[in-house]
Parts: sequence; structure tokens; C-alpha cells
Amino acid sequence: MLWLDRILTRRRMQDCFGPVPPWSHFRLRPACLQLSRQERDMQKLLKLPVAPRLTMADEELAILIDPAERRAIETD
Amino acid sequence: MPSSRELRHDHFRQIFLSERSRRESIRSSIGTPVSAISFAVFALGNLAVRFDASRLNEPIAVAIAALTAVSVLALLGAVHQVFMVEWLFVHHEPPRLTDLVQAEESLRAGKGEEEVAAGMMDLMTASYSIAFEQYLWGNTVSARSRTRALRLVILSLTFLAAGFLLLPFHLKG
Repeated sequence: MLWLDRILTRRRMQDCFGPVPPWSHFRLRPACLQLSRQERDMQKLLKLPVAPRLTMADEELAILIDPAERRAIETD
Repeated sequence: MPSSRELRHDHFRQIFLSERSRRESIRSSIGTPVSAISFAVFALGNLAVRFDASRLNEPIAVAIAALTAVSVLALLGAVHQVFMVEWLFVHHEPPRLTDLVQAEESLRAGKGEEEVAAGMMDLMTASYSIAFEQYLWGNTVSARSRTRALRLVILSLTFLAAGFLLLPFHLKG
């Protein structure tokens, strides 16, 4: 009945930050790698003790990708 | 007088916000080529109804058929470009509050309390800068597709207009 739940209720916030389906890892991997590289470069440039950790939002899946999820996509 | 660090921060914050709003204006401007495509399809239907395919051995009929074929190809190209405007776009946003709090704690542990504010400002500047570059690149690609779509649909309409110009001679003959 999950499909009915998705029609009748608003998508839950925790679903938006949920795991990215494996079939879309291939599509998102280049964007994730590029963003992580930019974060490392910026950390080096500004001599930051921690790298900036941006949030990605994929409209196709209507999903928000946090840095931890991004690492999982990169290493998959 | 603001410090160079503050100037840098304000600058990247401003250009990030403007680039993000530009995204929406590009998205809303897709309506123009889409309307033109609808009009071209309607005009194509009119031409096809009036065209007499049994007289394809005549040069004018061949010319109209060729112009229409090129017009259809340009129209398909325009449809493809409209699709590409929004295709697989990924948004980049500044860090979440939880990530900022973690970064603040790391800064406090590594550099001491007095360097936290400056470090956080640099971190936010870096985030805005990355997000700005990503939006700028994505918007440039989208704007290119939108412009190409508009050019192709104008090309399609021009070929259709040429076909319509020849139509009276085709019907008269």
C-alpha cells in the first residue's frame, strides 16, 4: 500500500533525505565527484580546517543529497 | 569599512542569489519556444492538408515537400533542445545547519574561539562560491539550449512560410 500512501499523503521530509536509489548512482556520480573536488580545492585555497559540505538537490528524483550520501554514491 | 573577508563573503553571497534566481527566469522563458513549436505544428497541419501528394512529380510539389521536411527536422531539433533545458539539472545549495554546527565545533577545537567567526565566514564564502559556479555552469548550458530551441523553431517557421508561399502555385497548376 506504499504507492497509495504516496498519492494520499505529502512526501515526508525524511524521504527527501533518504538513500538515493542505486539505479541513479551512475547518473549522479560525476556531479558528486565534481562537487567534492571543488570542496577540497576550496578548503586548500582558503586554508580551512574543514571542507565546505554543500547539499545537492536532484529534481528528477525530488531528493536531497547530503554529503554522507554523496560519499556513498562516489564510492559505489 | 568592511574587511576584505567580509567583502568577499558579501560578493559571493550576492552573485549566488542572483544566479539562483536567474535559474527560475530561464525556466519560465522556455514558454516562448514551446508556444512557437505549438504554432509551427498547427501551421504544418494546415500545409499538409492542402498539399496534393499525388503531384509529387512536379517541381513545385517537390520543393514544398523538401521545405516541409527540413521544417519538421528543425522542429524536432527544437523539441530536443527544449527537453535539454531542464534535463538532469542538479541544484547546489549551501550547507545545512547540522553541517555548519559540526564545522563550527571543528574550528573551535582546531583554531580556538577567537578564530571561529572568521573561519565560519570563510566556510560560507567557499560554499557560496562553489554553489555560484555550479549554478552559473548549469544556467549557461540551459540558456544555450533555450536559445538553440528558439533559433531552430524560427528556422522551422521560415521553411514553413516558404512552403506556404509556393502553395498557391502548386494548387493552381
